[in-house]
Amino acid sequence: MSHSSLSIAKNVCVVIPMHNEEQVVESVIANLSRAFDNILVVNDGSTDNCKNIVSNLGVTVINHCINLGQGAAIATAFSYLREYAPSNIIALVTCDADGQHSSEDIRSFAQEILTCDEEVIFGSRFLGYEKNIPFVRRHVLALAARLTNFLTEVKLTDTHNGMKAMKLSAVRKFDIETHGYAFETELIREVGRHGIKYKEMSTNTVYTSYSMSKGQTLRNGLVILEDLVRLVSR
Amino acid sequence: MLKEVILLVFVVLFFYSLVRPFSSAFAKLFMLIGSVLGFASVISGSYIDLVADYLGIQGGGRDLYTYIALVTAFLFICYSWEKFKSIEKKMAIIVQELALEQSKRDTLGK
Repeated sequence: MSHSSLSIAKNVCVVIPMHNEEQVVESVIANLSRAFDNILVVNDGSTDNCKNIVSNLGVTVINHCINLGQGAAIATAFSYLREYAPSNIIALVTCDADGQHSSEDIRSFAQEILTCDEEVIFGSRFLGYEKNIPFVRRHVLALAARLTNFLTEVKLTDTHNGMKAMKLSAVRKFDIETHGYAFETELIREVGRHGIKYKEMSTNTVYTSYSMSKGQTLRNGLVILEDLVRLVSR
Repeated sequence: MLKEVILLVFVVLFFYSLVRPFSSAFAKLFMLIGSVLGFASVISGSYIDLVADYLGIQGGGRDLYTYIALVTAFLFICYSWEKFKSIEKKMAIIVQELALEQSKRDTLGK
């Protein structure tokens, strides 16, 4: 398929891991549905009404009966796409369900992954938008990036960004076992291990009081650290 | 009478740990050593003091038991943690397989 015949609507699937997002998920999906025909939502054991909301939006929904973590939700989406993706899907974009990522950014990532030579594009808040990140979070993220860069063969400015684009050819090589937030590090390690070509693209993150309450807390950071130790010792 | 019963318990534990299959050699070793030390301490506390002296533990048998208890507690926590992680992993695989199977059925049903 030549680059010119590819379209983000037909050839890119948007993957959204979701856990208790009834307040925002409908508007997030409505925005994305204007640009994408293929949206895959992985409901990670939500206990609110979001499961019923998404089931009426005409998107593909996979349901975890219990909450396993964001990493497991992404891993399930990868398995689904590897096995059941229609042949026209050649890439995917992952984004959060809490509305932190703008649909413009998601479209840009989708467009870029279809045309670029790299197999993976990592979103980075540190390429022009670092001032928008709350102070403490900014420094924790910078520290996490340094640590991850030290532990993997990949060099990134932002290692814990939910926004990523990847070709299905890369997804077929991944073997993700970490279920929590530290799956980001495992994914990065997989990119390094398989020598997959990658690059970073700037993305803005919209921090609202809602998304801040849903995002990673400093206590979650300790769990990520614990997972990192396990990952390295494996 | 109570002393004999406790001694019998340690003897049974010793032979039981010899024949019982363990997933970890450490667990077997701990049970063997524990039952021998328990047996010796019931017969006479001085035996344990001798073992402690031999191992260079200044405080005698009581300190030796404290160290063993701490090491045992630490190993138990590590072992339980690993076991929980392993169960968590197996559970995740089941949940993911179920979810994929369900979505496959839903797709075929449409």
